[in-house]
Amino acid sequence: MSRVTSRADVGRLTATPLAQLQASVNAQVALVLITAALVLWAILFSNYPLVHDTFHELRHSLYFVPCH
Amino acid sequence: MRIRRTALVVVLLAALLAGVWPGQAAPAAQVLVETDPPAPAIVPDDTLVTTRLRVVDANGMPVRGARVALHLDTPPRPKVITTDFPHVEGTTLIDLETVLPDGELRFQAVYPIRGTYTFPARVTLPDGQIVEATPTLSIRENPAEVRNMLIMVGLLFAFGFVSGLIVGSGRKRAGVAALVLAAFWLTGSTALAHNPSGKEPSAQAGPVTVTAEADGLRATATISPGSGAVGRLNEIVVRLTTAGGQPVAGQISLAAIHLEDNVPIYRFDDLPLDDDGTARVAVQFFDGTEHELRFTARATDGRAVAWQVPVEVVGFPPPLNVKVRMWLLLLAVVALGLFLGLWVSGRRADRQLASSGGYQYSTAHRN
Repeated sequence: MSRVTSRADVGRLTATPLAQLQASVNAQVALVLITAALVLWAILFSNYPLVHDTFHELRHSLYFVPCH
Repeated sequence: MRIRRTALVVVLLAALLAGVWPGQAAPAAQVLVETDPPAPAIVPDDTLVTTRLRVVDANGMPVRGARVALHLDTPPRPKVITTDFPHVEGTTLIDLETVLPDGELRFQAVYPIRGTYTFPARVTLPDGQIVEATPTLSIRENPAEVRNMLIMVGLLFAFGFVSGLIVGSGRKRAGVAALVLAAFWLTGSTALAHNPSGKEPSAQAGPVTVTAEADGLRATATISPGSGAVGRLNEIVVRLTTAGGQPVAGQISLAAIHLEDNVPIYRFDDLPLDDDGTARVAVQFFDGTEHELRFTARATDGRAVAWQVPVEVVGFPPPLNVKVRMWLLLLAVVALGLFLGLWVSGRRADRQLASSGGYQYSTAHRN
């Protein structure tokens, strides 16, 4: 066992796993943002009639969502 | 001495200009706009507002018999935060010209969006003088919409923040990933579709004329174009004649009814007919759904005729640039929460690192 006293030490000692972890973090951040973007677009901005009609009142009840 | 003389000349010139400058003369009449309920109580796209446009003389007395040509223009497009009806922004809602027998034009209207409406009016006084004025009316956004917006922004920020905390913890979250993918699947199929049914209301480009007869009166309403479109005016010309075609003196009342909600969005009562038996008003139908115009024409001898005309209104999706701008703003809130969550998560890890005195790491990971 070796004692590590900083995150940088962790990086030096475990370069490959940490890089994988960082890549995973980036991927998760991207996934969250893409999902949020798609959900927001679909619910609040899509012109698809079924979605538009379903969320019509919601859109009109929000200050910043154009409906027509 | 020279300075005093110069000052005296300046004062005299100023007094002279004040006396002869046309702008300083008292206006022959004023144009005032009053509403019931008052402006602070008006809720856009909800309240049917009684609007009175009054022409008064210098003593505040109504100028009887004035003729007014009026526009009611909607507020200009906001720079950042859109309204519910972007196609209505910066357009004309009502355009009419009529005589004001008692110095007052009264009508009811639903004001569709927040902002400052302008009423450019050109008034011809009985003595032939022309007065131009542009009264304004400022309407605030629906307080419920502002509250809902704050809640929505809070929820989006919280979603981003919690996501940041979870992602920053570095642990596997199979459940979260599955949830994200499910949301992706549920919404992705509809997100990019643009009106795939292709069904649009049929537009009637030409004018539509409907005639009704009763009590020896013949009333004709011509709507041009025959169908409405959000952002565009429809001219309505009403003519009242005898069955033989002679103009009849009288008044008309008309109401534009939003059929889906069965509420009026405009109502004009007792608009006087001109000498040729006609009255003209143009209105914009600001919601893309079916409406109905309901008319009542009354001759001065008490005879009346009532009729109605359906008007289909074509709605348009909001402009893409407006949608994208608002979408990016909302996404920015999520991103802000997300990166704050990541930062907090990192700080928490650093504190744990400091308090535990360091990680106990297996030598198996050494290079």
